[in-house]
Amino acid sequence: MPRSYRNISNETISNATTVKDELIEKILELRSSTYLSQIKAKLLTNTIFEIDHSKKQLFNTNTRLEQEICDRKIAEERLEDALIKAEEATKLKDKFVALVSHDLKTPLHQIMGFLQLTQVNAEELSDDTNENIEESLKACSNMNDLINDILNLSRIKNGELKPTCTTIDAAEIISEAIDSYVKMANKKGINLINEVPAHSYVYADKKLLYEVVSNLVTNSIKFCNNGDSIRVFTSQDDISTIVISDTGIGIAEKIIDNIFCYEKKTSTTGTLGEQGTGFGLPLCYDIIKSHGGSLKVETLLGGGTSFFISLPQTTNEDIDL
Amino acid sequence: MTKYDTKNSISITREIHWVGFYEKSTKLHCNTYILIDDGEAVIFDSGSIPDFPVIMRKVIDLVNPNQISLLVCSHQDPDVCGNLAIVEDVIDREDLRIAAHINTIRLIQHQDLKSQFYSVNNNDYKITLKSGRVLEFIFLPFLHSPGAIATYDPKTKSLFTGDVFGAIADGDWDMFAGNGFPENMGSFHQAYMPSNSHLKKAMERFEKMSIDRILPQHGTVIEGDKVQVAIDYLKLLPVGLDLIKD
Repeated sequence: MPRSYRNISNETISNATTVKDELIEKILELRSSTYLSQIKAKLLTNTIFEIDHSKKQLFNTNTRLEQEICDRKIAEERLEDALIKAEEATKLKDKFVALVSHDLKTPLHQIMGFLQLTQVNAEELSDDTNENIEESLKACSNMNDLINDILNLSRIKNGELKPTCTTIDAAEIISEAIDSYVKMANKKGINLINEVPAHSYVYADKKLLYEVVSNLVTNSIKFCNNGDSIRVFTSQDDISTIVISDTGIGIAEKIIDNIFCYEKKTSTTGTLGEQGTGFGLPLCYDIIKSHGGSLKVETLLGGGTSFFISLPQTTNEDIDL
Repeated sequence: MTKYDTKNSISITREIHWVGFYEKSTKLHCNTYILIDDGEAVIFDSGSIPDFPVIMRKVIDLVNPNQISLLVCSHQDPDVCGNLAIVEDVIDREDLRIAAHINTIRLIQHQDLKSQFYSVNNNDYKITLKSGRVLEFIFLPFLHSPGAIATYDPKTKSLFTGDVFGAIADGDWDMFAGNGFPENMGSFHQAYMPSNSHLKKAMERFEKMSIDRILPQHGTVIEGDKVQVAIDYLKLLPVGLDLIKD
């Protein structure tokens, strides 16, 4: 490659102009005398032509470069404007989604509440009505999950989902999450086992960790059959790695690379026809990532799935016993 | 086609620049170099009369002519120093010196030169620049003139060799040795150098030196590992009298 230790600049043009003036004086001195002087005068004149030609080229190059810089600047400004407008539009859209989703929750909870109240007197209702209520509750529950996921997604996109980490006992959070879903698991004939020992301290946001564990447990319930089991335990090598392992149907190889990706929704129907939004796993991934940790998956089609939540390690000094 | 902009000066190192004249139709084009040392400039083999306007314009792009304090003349050929009289006029310095071997000075003084001659053989084959930088001269008798010299800059390990290591550009010329090297040096040396015994002596001397680059007055700049390749090639090359049969 050509080496460029020297910059051709306006200064070069200005130096050349000064030297050129000096050369003209010399030519005038040389013109009158000997043959040799005349040759010299001719050579100096040619040098001036050379300088002028070179100056012109430099000037043209500089003008072209200046124009290019100007054009590029205008293009950059336009691009910046477009970017600002796009960002504003996205913000507005996210705000709208958050507002609408939030407002949808209130009537939905009312509907669910009335349906559950009606179920209290199930014996007085016909089988058909009971079945219809059950189906309506299922649909409401799915819709509630969808709204929750959209709300969380909107928080992530707006940078509102920032973890407030403290040293917490993962066993307590996991136990709380599992208790909420034991009933759901039992209903499908799935054995949900908590093997996390007490005092498994991790550095995490309590609320968000609960959200992730809940999400992964419900995901496992969704893809397990009657007789399957789900175990939640901490890794033997590292207690800050929580494993949620099931013996369910596993995940197909063709979608495994996209399960943590919002843009490529991979939601599939559960073993009993349960519907999902496809946002759950990407959301978990982002939450754990925002902790500075990682979420990984190992699966075998027909042989079950294990999710590994790795959180930043805590030190003994952090533990408030 | 050369990838370098030969219409303008070309940087060889931060301090050494090519300010020569290249025309595709000329197979034996001339390389003039300028060394810029702390504001002081040295020109090596300033070139011919027809090339003068282009060379001087390239010099002016880099320095003010009155920064030039020394003109080194490797030998007396018209393509090497035919323009000295007009170059010294443009530089216009009373203390301007022309460094050459005395055998060269005797011949070039017929160009009606006004500057002081610096006879390298009377000055221990050395010259010290204002910054304290020392340039060393190497006597290369009959390669291909009786007073031929090369100049060595120990700071950059650069050797300005005049006609030695010169080459004819038979196809596309490039600034740095590449295609056709080292064979492209063959025909030029065979035609212009007296004999292999002369050439071999010089090569054996160069071999003992630490050289990063060779800057000949014709042909291409030879750098790095190619330096030894060039020396090895010329050491064995039959030239001049070796090729003339009785």
